[in-house]
Amino acid sequence: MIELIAGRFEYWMTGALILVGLYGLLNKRNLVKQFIGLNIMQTAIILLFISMSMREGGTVPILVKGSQAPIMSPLPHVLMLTAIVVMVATAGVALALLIRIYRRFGTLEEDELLERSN
Amino acid sequence: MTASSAILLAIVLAPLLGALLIVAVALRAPRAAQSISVISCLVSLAGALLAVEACENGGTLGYAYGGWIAPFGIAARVDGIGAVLVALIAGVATLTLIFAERSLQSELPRDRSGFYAMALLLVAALQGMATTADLFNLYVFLEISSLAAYALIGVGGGPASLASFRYLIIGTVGASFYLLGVAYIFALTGSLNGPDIALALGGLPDSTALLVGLAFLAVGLGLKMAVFPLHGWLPDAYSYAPSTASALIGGLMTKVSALALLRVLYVVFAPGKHELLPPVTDLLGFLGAIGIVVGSLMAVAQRDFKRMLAYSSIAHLGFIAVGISLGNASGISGAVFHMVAHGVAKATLFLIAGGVVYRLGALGVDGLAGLHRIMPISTFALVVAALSMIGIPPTAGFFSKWYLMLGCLEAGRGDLFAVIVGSTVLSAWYFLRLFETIFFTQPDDVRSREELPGSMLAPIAIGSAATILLGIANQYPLETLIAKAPVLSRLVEVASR
Repeated sequence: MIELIAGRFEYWMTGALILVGLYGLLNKRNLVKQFIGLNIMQTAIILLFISMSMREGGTVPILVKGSQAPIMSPLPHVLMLTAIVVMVATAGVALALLIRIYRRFGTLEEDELLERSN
Repeated sequence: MTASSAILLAIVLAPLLGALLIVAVALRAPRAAQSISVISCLVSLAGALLAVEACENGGTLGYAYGGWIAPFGIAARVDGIGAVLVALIAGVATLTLIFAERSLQSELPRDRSGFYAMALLLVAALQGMATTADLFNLYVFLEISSLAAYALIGVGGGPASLASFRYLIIGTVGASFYLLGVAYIFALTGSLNGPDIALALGGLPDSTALLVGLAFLAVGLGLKMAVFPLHGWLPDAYSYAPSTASALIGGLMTKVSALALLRVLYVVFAPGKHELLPPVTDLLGFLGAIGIVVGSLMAVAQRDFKRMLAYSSIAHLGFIAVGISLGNASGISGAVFHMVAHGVAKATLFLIAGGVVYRLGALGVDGLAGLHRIMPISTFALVVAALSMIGIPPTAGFFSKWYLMLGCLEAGRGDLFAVIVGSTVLSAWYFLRLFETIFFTQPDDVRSREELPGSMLAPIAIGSAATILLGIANQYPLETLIAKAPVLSRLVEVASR
């Protein structure tokens, strides 16, 4: 059991992080906290991708003539660079919306919002 | 660069460059925004029609971004099914943006160039989703389209920003699940290109990891296409957004996600090779059927015109989910044609809703009493589009349902067949009730005839004419384009083995 966890430590960590994020999304009544949960979840997925490219003793993927050193796959890094940009853009839109909601309703608590929007 | 690759580039790039141009000139020439947006959609439409022609009888179009050949680079690829969707997106977007200016004047009195830039960004991203063959590229376009949609809904004012935030949370969870699914597939196959993954998966045994990956992909895209019970975000988002935005989002976005799901299920997971595919599609069909019933019942209960349209969208996405789940050529043809039929009809109905707001300022179903006296042509268009939603011949909605029912019978699914027939009764119920209010209820105050201005009337008229034309000429899209697409011919081949 310990080996199962230790041998695949990064997967258990990302799994736990995704669950933390989902918990925040589902159980928090404050919109900012929901948004933070969302961010944790997205970050966990980015970590999962990055951990997939890891190789024992791997170095940066720059081809040098005659070098036989193992390299790490650069593709997940490139993909996640894009995913991070997407994440930042989402965060920008989310925060802008939160400002608009607060200006109109004067609160970011889900329960009070439900009362005031009816 | 050959002619074919230029077509696919133009389809995606024209709206994208248009969006950038609008932002660049927004301060100096805010009035140019609408012209730029309509022109770039027309360019995209021209490209889409060329793509349709090239994809007749099983043809395909391909393009490798930056000259990097797949599977190393990002590939764009459309077949008959993709071409139909690309044409739908460009067509509906053009109509909606022609309509937009007058409608937005009443709903968004201040600066509107931002709205046009966002709308074009949405169109570009949807065209990108419809043309890409790369799973990660699809994720990026999915998020671009969603971000544009959040902004378009959020400008609606009032509770729209709250609806938009809820949509953002759920939509981002959907996209994250999709990305997680991509991670599993990528870890198993080392590739992101659809056909290439299919090749690699063909040599791998079915594993738990593959099932989990497929489940994440399906749930993520299911959230984006609002399959029951993942539809919670849709009604608020559609009903509080400006009508133009509702037409774009309600007419197009969920359809493109459905197309993505179709590709994942039948291109990435080659038919007949994976034991784990049938349980997933069975579940999709089951949820689709529940969505049809729940969406129709909720639509019957609504008193607000736009909300009624939103709930009926959930029902119609159920039809598409059922068609995709059947896994035979008729069912999938029906699902794809239903995307087109419902996309055109629903966009037209949302535009009419926008017209009603523009003229009367109110949108309760009761407020529509006597509409045919005030706006006779729009009311006629509304009736035509509604008939297509119910599925009365010769509108497009009839033929898509016909193929869906055919698919149910071929798959031996009498239960799904019964649900489709039963829901037709429900949708007839809420639309006929709408007609009764319009034609037979006495309005409180008598208003003189005041038809919509030409720039609003023309898109509505073209939209409702298109539902009839698509119905009469259904052979061309259904038989020449959709049924001949390589995905479906492969399905037929597998089934006949």
